[in-house]
Amino acid sequence: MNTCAEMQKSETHQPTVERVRSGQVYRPLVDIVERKDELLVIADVPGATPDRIEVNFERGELTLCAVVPPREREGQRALLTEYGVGDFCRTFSVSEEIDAAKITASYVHGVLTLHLPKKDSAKPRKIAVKSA
Amino acid sequence: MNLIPWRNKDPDRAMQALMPSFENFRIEMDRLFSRFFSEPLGFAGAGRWLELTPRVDLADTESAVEVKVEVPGVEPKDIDIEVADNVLFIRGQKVRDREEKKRNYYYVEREQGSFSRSIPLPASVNADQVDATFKDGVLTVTLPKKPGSVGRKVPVRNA
Repeated sequence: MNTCAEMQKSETHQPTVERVRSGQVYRPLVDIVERKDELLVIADVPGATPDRIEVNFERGELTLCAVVPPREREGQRALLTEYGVGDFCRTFSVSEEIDAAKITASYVHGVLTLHLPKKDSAKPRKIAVKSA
Repeated sequence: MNLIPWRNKDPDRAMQALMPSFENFRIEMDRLFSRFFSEPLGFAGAGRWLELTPRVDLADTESAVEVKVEVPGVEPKDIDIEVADNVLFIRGQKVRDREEKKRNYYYVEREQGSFSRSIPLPASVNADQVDATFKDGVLTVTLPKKPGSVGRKVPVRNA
């Protein structure tokens, strides 16, 4: 049953932001990857308009929200509706090791990629051993 | 003390009181069945070992059939569209670049791999004029209907 839920867009039951629009909110599917000097958050947000994606970082929480324009149903008869159309929202707790000021985001083909660079103190360092 | 089984004196009225629940039940069952047959993976939900199955939206307008598919992260060049015998085939591949294999994954929720769907169309379409656009991870295929296949209104004459 669990896999089934994962295949679909899962609904968020507790939107973390104040909603000003009605409609469904979905939790985007993400991949989180650690690189040597950064964390990557890759989220599928199909249909989201690039200029209406918001990424906020506040008190150790990273929130991404993407607005998806509703379906246009004017003069159309829906024969199949397998996916739901609604906004995407998801919040992550981010550790202190992330340099919040340097978080960047890019959006291409419906995929939002956040780069969370690590603070210098958190980066792995090789310590050279000096021979006396 | 008398124990008398309760009976509604008016059987018709008792039936009527029950009708809404029958009706609801019928609607529920209809919904269940239509979902069963319309879900791409049927009842099993199947699991992730199956190739990913993108979800489809199919809408019928007066002059065209419009198919929308959610395929975030797929390059337009990796999508293959074909129309034959009023069936639309969409195939594609979502590739993860090799470099990423070396990274440490904490969450892997996004689906990867190849996908294909065949979608029977509700009307005959003009295969030469099919148009496909890809925007923000949503593929939209517009298939204009053949002139003859657009429904014609038939007036009923008085005999």
